Amino acid sequence: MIAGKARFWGACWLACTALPVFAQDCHIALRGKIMDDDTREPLAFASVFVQEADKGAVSDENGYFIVPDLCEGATYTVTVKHVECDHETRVVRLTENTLLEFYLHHSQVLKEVIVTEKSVAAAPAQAAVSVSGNELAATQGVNLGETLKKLPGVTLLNTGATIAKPVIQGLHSNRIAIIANNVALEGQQWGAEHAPEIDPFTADRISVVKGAAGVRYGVGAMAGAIVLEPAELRRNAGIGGWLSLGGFSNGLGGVASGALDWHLPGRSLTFRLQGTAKRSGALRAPDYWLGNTAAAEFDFSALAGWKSGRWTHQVTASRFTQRLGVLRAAHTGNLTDLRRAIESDVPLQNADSFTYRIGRPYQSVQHQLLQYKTGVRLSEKWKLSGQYSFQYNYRREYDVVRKTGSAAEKPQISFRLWSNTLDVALEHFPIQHWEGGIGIQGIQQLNYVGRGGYIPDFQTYGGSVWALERWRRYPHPWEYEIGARFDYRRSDVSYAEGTFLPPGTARDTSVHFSNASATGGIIYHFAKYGRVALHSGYAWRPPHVYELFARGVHFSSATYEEGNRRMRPEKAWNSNLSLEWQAPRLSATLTFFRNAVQDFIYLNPSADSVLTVRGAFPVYRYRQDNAVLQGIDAGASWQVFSAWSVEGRASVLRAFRRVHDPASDKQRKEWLPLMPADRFQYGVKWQKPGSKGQAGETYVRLLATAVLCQTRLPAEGLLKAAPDAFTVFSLEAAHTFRLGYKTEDHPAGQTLEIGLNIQNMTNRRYREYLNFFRFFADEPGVNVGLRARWQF
Amino acid sequence: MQTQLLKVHILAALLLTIALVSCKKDKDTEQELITTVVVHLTATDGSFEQEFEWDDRDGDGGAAPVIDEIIIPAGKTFNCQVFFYDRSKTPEEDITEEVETENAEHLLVYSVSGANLTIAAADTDDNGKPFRLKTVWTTAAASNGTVKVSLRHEPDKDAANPDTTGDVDAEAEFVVKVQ
Repeated sequence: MIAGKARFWGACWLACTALPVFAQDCHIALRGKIMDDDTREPLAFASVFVQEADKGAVSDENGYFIVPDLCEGATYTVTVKHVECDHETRVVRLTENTLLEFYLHHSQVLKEVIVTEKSVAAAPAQAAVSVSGNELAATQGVNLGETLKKLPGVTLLNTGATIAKPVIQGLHSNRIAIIANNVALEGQQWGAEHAPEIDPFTADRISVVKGAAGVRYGVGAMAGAIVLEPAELRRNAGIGGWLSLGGFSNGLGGVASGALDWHLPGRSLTFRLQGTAKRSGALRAPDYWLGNTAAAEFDFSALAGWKSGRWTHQVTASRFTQRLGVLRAAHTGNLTDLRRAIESDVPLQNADSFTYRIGRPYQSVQHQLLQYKTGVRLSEKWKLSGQYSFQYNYRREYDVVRKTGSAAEKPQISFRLWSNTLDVALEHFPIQHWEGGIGIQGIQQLNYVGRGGYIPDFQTYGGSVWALERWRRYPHPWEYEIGARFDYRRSDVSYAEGTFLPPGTARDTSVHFSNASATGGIIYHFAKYGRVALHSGYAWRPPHVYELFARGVHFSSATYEEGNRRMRPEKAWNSNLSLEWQAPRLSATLTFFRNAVQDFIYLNPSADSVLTVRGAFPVYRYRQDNAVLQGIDAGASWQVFSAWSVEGRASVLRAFRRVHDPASDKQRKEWLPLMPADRFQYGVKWQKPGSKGQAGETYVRLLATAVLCQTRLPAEGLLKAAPDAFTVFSLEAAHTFRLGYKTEDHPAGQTLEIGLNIQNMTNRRYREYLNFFRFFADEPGVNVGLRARWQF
Repeated sequence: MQTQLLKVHILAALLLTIALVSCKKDKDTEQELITTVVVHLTATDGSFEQEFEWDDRDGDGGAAPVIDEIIIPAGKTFNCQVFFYDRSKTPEEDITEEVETENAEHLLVYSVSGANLTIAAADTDDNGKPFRLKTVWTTAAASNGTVKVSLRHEPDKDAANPDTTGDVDAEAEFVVKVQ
């Protein structure tokens, strides 16, 4: 849909730092931010002195300072002083407008100064968790879902072992937005068995924003957003990058990924090439092979960024291709077959041997992106940014077929989606302590469904206008956020009189939706390390064409699904209250959330059945009722001794809908299906003392994940009871070596990180309620992964 | 000079992207839809020959299938062959040939209830295993009931009961009147 505001802020900062770039040699500004290293809070009234130029500045209440009129190419000694902290001195060679970040320390230790040009965009006021560094690297080679499931409040919706979708506080697919490098992913996310078309290796940091985030991230971010941020481009001339290799014992899989950054000497032009290749064979459950679960993936991206006067530009092109085998045992012809497959303890029709071959059924997915973003600094306080993106998504599903020869090469279903989005935003830096902006967005989308798809073709147009502001005045303990947005969506659908029209015919059935969204948040910093945040958001989602017009047999569940043209948009009012404590030895977060969804769309079993050539299938119709999802996400880690720390996480969710009961003419509560069961995680970590956050970090961590049995289930429509509770253990270890090569980028030597990751250590046999294939087979058994990452 | 160079870079980036984005020609999807099951019965004494259809040419959902009643004389023996068609296409596609070609990968299963009718195999696949596209139907005294004709794909013909293995590609249930 839309690039979220946060990205604009990021882009804005990118440009702002490039600020008053004049062509003259000595009109370069040195900008920076000074923060307390312990609390990460801005330090006001710190003095900055540039020795060679004999110029100084004082940081403002947000920690920012600016020293104008410095000369390009010259070397300066910058000294930062603050009454409460030790002073810091750093030698900087100015080749362009520079943003320095100083982290001042209260103790006598002189800290390394980090020169960055990163986004200083205020994090959303609502509950958010993120993963980066070692934690991200540990599971990056698997898939996006696997990377995120360690975060409290995030679970996975699986279709077998190869297809995983992230679930935020019980909601997934079209109800959450995935934002990669400032662009909202426009894929086929409506399908529960359609995995996100994202290469996790492109991200340096992945954040999960929980709760209604529609104002920031656009229509669809009704239950939250997943935000992937790439590593910053190189700022100094030269070549750098990384290479990562990994291997997995289960499925004998391998993954290779690498990136190369090249900053042209003497110019503000940087390139990045990044690629990932992945291949794995059939996975193994403790007792048998999971037939046809091999997978292959190849991703590539190229990026170029440059600055020209007050302008910044970035062009990105990426391509994601994936072939995913689907467990053969999950393919059944009709309800009788399905029941028999469910009753069997072992998978039926299962090739019980290892192979790299991807046979039918399988999915083939392709996603391409072309993105251009630009920003221009209008004045000291104002900045204008724009972004255009084009995305092409091509999804093909190959079923088990009878035909041979060339016809046997073709897919049974294909979906193609072309999306064009345009964003323009006008943003400002603090004015009277308010920081924020306004913007507009437009989207055009063409969805072409090959013959046999169970949704019709459609074309969508949309427009949005938004405004978002944040107030913060250090050291004032209160912080406020307020925002609003209005969206319009119109879809023209090839549908008439209950039938899908052939491709290319007039799209003469129109549906349109519009709605407002709002967000408000208050943060109170009650102590140096503690804050409490209350956030409330109202967001919405137009019903997708599949919920309006779907018609067909869904073979994996042996149901005949029927859309309803009279669907209204879903509206969510989400509130969360977070308590956070981030001290050096103890960090803890506790979030209470409640998401009240008006007109929640769900599939409801009916008494009807439809007779097809494969037999009778029960009819499920899309319906709407009000629903409530509420619960607690908690996480804490405590450094007990210098080397040992313990951690714990919990996710508890209660989700129900209010259904009108015709018998009593009253509303009754009914549990929502496919909601994550209560989940707890405990861990103990040993870390080589003094190595935290340093290159040379060494740690071993043992984690236990306990998932209870989901007992809160709807009365109807269940094919099989929810699986039992289980506990699985996993182990992570990593060590970073210093290599001998000392370069300008790596004055202490290049690094080589070696990691070990063992999943399901005890080779336990278990099934997950949130896996559609729990009917057919167990989850995979023990998996030992080894990885190495060379940073050069 | 500077701007010129920038233009070159932009152009290069765009060209690269276009190269990445340009996609293969559309390959249409290939549906393996069976809309119609035909049971062709010929009495061995030549006194009776008729086709009975189970027909749902608009595919799953939409209009309900049109199903003939199988009305056959009592006390006779019939040669039966089953045919499968995809009549959603024009001209209709005869799927029977594919099934016959891949006879080792297919198995027909008949289940009779209520009617005095017995069905026996009259063919085998290339490996000498059951196939049952051709069968012999024998009727006894007058009676009413149903017969279900199933086409199973990728069965395990070595299993103890191959009739429940594989996936159903088609399953047509007819009302049978033996009179």
